[in-house]
Amino acid sequence: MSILDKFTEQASRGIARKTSRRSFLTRLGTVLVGAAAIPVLPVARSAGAQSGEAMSQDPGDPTSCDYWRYCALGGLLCSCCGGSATSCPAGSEMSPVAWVGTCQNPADGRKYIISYNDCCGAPACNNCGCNNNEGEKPAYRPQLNNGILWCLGTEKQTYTCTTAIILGVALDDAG
Amino acid sequence: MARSLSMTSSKTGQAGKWALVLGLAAMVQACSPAEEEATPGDFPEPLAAEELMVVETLPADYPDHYLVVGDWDHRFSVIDLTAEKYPVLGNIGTSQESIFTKSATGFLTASTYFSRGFYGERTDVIAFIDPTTLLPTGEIELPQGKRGLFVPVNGMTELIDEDRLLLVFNFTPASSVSVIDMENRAVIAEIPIPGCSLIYPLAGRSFATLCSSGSIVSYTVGDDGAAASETISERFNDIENDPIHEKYARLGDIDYFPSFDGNIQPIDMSGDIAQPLDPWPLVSSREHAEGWRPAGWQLIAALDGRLYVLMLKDGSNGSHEDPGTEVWVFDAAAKARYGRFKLETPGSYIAVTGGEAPLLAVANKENGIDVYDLAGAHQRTLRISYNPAINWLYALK
Repeated sequence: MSILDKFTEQASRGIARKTSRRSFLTRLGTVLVGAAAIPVLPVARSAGAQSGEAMSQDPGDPTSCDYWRYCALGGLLCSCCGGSATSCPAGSEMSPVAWVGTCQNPADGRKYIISYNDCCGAPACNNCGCNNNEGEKPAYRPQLNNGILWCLGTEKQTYTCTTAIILGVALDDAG
Repeated sequence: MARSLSMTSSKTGQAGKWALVLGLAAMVQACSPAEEEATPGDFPEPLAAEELMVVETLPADYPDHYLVVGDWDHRFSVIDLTAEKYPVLGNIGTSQESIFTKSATGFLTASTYFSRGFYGERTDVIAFIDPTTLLPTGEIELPQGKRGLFVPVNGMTELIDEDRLLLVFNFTPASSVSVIDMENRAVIAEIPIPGCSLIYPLAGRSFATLCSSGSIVSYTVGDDGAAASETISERFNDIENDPIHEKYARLGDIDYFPSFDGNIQPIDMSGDIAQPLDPWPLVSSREHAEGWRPAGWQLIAALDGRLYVLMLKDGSNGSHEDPGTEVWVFDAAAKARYGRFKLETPGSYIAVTGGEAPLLAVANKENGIDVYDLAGAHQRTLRISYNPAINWLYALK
């Protein structure tokens, strides 16, 4: 948690120094989305998305790179290695910080913010590798970049695989 | 055997016949051409006994067609692009997310190790590697746990001021740069670079970094290693609509960055402050409409006034890291395309070697390395190991 506080503080300071007020607020929103994920990501919410009744609203095969949530996933799928789109395999540790993408659900047409939390500390099991980059930005906008090993704030930092967890519905950027 | 034969006197004739058949078969086998016994013949002297413990070394002055290849199996391979079958001359062992750097006097690797392999106490080190033996000769321990762990890309570890300073990009996720005095082999400072990523060398003791704001920020390193100055450029990078890749190629003092939407952004790095120049298009209007875009990971290389860019047709949101299918060659001074050629196999990494017979190396999507001449004639496909996962090509000159 302290690492994220420091990140948010420094990122905010840096962003405030270098951007206009309006774009600062847009970007602060992006940072805060990531921040909100850390303490409040409830297991219950993700379990609901996978329950029998909700299956039709979350279509597709989570072991396939074409699964709608993976639109900005660059890495190995936890769902092919003992985990799932929303959980880490046994023996690994989930990182509290991640990059985010915005993916459209083909079932309900909504654009969801997806948090691509890495699982860390166990050997990688390379069954399913994906290189999807919708909306992905270069490393100078790290919150939207999937080339970074996001095993930060974890005790173990080797890369195992990546999840794709719904944070919420994307707000319309009316510009 | 003889006793059992005599016990059945009525079958003696038959047994004898079988003995003859088997005996003849044995004789035929002994005399068949496939099993002719070798004799000294023309070689009256045996092969000499050989020396044990011989280890190869590489030449002090590498030929122009050598290249260093990084891959996810914890190694950097020194390879010969003109080899017909097995190009590897030797491998340097490292960790994951290691970065290779060439200095005027040797090689450096930046690595991150855990005391129990996948977990345990973390150690970040710069190792000095002798280019002729490929053995480590020394190391500098970095501030623990700070070194950025990225898919290998330029700008993670850079030398400036004629190799007097080594800069290492940290990401915790706070961004900063560790400054290492190479003469004393000591970490002397850490410069925070909030909101920015990666290191782009400028002249002397200066470096620049690309920022989330759309600017490039230039720092000059003071004698104590701390930032003596910081200059923020005008915003030039339209990150929402046409961001520049963080990968580039250098011609003279200008760094060329391809952009997502098909432009090239030159930045003048000749002084101590980075100066973005006017971008120009890599694609005509028609080509842009057809979706031609730069694509790949290590997607641009440069040599002798020309840029070599990996390109893909029908580009879309998210295609900027797909393997390119063609190489387009640009004359940087003329700001115009000079030529283009199709790749044997689409690829995501391109590097160029110079000298009298320059070569282009493309790491393709099947993890082979395709070698071309500068006109695009395919020379050979090399494999550096059984199933490598190549992650960067390090040109040496």
